[in-house]
Amino acid sequence: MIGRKKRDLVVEGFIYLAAILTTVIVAGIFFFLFKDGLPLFGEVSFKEFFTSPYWYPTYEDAEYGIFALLIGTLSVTGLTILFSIPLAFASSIFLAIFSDKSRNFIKSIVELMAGLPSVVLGAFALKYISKWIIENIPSAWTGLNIFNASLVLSLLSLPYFITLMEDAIRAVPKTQIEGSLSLGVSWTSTIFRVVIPQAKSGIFNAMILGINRIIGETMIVLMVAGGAAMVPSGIFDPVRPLTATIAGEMGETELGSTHYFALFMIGVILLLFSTCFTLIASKLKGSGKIDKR
Amino acid sequence: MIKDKILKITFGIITFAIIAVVIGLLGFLIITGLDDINWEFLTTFPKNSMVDGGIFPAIVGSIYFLSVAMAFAIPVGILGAVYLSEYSKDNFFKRTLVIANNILSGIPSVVFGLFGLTLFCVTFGFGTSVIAGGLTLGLMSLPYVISNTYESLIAVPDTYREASYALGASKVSTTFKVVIPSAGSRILTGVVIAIGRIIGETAPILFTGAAFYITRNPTSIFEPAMSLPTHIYVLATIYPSNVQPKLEGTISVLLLIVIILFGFIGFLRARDIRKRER
Repeated sequence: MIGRKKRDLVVEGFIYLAAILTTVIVAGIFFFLFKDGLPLFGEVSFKEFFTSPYWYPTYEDAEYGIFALLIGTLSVTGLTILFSIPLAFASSIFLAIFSDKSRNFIKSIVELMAGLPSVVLGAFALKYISKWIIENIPSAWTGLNIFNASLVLSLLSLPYFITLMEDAIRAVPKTQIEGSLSLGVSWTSTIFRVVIPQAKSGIFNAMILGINRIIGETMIVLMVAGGAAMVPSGIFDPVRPLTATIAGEMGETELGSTHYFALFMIGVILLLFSTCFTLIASKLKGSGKIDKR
Repeated sequence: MIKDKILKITFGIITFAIIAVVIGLLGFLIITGLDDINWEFLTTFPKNSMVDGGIFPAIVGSIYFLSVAMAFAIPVGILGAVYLSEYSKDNFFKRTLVIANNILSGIPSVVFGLFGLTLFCVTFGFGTSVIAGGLTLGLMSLPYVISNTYESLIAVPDTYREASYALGASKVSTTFKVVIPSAGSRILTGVVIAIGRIIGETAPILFTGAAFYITRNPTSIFEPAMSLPTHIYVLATIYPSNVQPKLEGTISVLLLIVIILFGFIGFLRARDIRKRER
């Protein structure tokens, strides 16, 4: 029996170890990214990094301003939100309230959608959508631009928005809906006056988690956004979002160079973005709940 | 009421339009690549600057990366979920763990790539290798494995645990011999979902483990390897358009694998539901 007790203690030790490992990993990610990112400010001023629109890391007289990259991320994210949130809103309501027989089928396709590799969508947009844009939109001087990237990113972000929003809507108690309907209120009014106000924080939570995904998506913007580090003046201009900059340049960067530090500092910014978004989402949901994936 | 009908039909059309786009796109990508897939394509190395030959090293490499990732994420993820569902009380410590898990699952894949580069490749000295890329993918899939396993464990009725305790079993025996086995197929479903999510990941291995072109398969986990997603990236962006058939074939193979994985998930779930109804 003593042997068994000892074995139990060892196993429990491993359980505790595994439990704190996620926290250790998160702390480790913060530590290592800051460690390799902060040295940048010994060589480039804080102000230049954030406010200069010139990102020329490989020039003789290198410049490291991420303003244009930041605008790139924001413009692609903004347009993607504009495309995908209304669509996700409509289909999550349909899925939660109106679909009965088709629900399982739709859900399984939405789940498959979330499993679509982003590099495949990127390749599709690169080979086909960009050609279509050049042929059909005269004002576009390149097929790789904000519009193209946002279009494909919408497809990628829709399953997150739909799943999380549907969960939020379904969490509204049935009795409230029935109560409203039995008073003779129409479905339309019930949805917009009873269901949505109730599900507001859940829908907001879904938006935040989905937007976090869009900001962090890398391959699509790397392949399709055009890669030009400039402040865009329209949706058919190419941009170079933050994630694309890291993925596109890390391979050719010398370890410990200013460029290397600058890419890690961009990583720090992305890390801070995503942590803030996650914390806001956790606050909305009530802490202590695991995000559903 | 007519207003309700209009709302229902409009939202229904939007939903089915999205579904149609997804199915259409999948069908198009799979079918355009299908005629490029043959036995030679699956079992030979690329030749003539990728114009000829196949994707054998990319398939093998993907299996290597996923194996390393799962060898890390499955045991750690399951034990972590066991703590959350069986051991933790609702206190500050548990809330910290849950928030850490949520933060981890929200971190962009390219940031995982940076972390893997500085920790595994540089600090641990693994260089660009299967183990560095695989562990980076493993870290990324950890929150998926934890949250899916946690959901399956808390779905096990407390009566099972009480019955086991009543027979004099310890907490560890109860957890490993009663709770985990009865959640088994759901845990497996969660693991397959995690694999489905990371099999197409490109950014985390792009500069931690991926080789763009190799002439022989890696003989140890300390060598770099090709992978299906990075191969698609390379063919689509670096090589001229005369590799298009190979690109289409590779996309087709990766999508078929993803669809098979999700089909398997559907099968596991259906079996699970049948079992519970019995």
